[in-house]
Amino acid sequence: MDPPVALRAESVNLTFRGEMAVRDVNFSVARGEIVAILGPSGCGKTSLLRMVAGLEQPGSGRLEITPTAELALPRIGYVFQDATLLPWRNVVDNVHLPLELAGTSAVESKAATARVLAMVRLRDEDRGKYPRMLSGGMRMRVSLARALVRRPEILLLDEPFAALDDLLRQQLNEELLELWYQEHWTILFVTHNVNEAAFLSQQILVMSDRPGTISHRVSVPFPYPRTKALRSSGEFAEFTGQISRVVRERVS
Amino acid sequence: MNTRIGQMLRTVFPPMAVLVMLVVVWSFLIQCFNIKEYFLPSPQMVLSAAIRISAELSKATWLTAQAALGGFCLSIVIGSLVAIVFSQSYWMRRGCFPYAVLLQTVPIVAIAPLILFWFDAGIHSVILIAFIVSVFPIIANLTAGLTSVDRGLVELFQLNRACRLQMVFKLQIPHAIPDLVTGARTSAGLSVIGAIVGEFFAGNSVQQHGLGFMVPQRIYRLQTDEAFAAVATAALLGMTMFGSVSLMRSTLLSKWCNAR
Repeated sequence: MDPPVALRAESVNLTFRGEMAVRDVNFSVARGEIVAILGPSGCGKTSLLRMVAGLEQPGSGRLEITPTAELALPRIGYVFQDATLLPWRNVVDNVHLPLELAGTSAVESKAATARVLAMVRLRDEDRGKYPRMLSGGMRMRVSLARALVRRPEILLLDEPFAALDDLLRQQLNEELLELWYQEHWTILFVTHNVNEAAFLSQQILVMSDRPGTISHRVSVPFPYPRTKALRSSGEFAEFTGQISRVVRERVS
Repeated sequence: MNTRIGQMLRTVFPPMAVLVMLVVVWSFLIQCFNIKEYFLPSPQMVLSAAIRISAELSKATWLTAQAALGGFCLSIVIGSLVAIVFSQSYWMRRGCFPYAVLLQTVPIVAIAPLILFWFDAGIHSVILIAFIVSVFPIIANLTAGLTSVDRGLVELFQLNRACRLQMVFKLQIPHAIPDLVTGARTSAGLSVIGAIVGEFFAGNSVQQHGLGFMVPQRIYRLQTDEAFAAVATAALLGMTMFGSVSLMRSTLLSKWCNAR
């Protein structure tokens, strides 16, 4: 039996300043699946993700996140392009914020915060630090921990590692996969990096620009668990080469 | 340790050097042009006058400081409340902000006599005048801080379904604290000016006299050295208020340091 659908987009359109930014987007994401939206800058992939999160309303069409049975509203974890941390709060207080806003009890919050901080491998001595004291990679770990603290049903990632150097990006991709093996969240993430999309996801939705629409759907043929050795394999290079060609065709 | 001493020297030395130069030029001009002491007393005369009337001067300073502090505290409280209201409603902000600007643009010398006429000429009126003079920087800076929160942070709160009160108290106000402190620095100095203007207009109708009364009184009596001593004390009071807020700034803003 196929896993249930966690997210479905039907004929989604978005107009921005009189121009069509996203046109007739249709896709679905199964529960526990990782799906990448891949496309060049400005193709509308971030707008699409923002519509899924409810930060923007589609001009027409339907976007539906199916909550698990006991929840009226689905729990969404969102990681922005930059870490978007509150500069006056330390690491623990930043991670704790979603629970605080939801009115979770102090005991429960403390346990949940400690759990996710351990998950994203933030050391004890870094937990009292303020965002300005952290490196770019550590800030993104805090941002990811904050998105995970309420045990989201769906995790939306908007190019979270784009500002990091390539080695750190690869390391965080591997760590994200390791977490996913344990938790099996549904993940929809936006990237313009072909290698990242191929390494993380089971399905890649290639977006063309002006207006942004899904031009190709590609199933990624590599089974999990994926290790860093996959990146240096010939099949991976060949696959990413094909995807790059598809993206380039769509841009030109 | 050496670095700390060096840093202190770098901070303290330039203004002290300028002060010494000014005093030297001042003394030189008096000697050179043989200026009469009732017209412009020498620095030495001002200093000895300050020592001579030190009891009266400290009493007056205390009164002025009370009025200035009262006005400053009122500015912080009322200015903050007004800024929070402005930040919550676009129409309120557009409708009322121009009138808040009036507080800054209408000359206080025009309003002060009216206030003293409408209310009694006691310390309450002086505090009110100090408040009117010093409230605008709080309103302007805090409103700017409350309404300029990074869009990503606002969206983070929206994603977590924060209510309006949570937005205000957990996001907008903490974000605007550095702007409040910046406004408070300007406001602290202005509150002393307001208190002195208030005391100037209140004149002899109050029982106890602050620095704002002492200056014109001594000038009328041609006790210019004492008037200068009072002016210098008023300037010191303003600098102390400004300096205290500046000092508190580094403690208050340690969390926000380099954050924006």
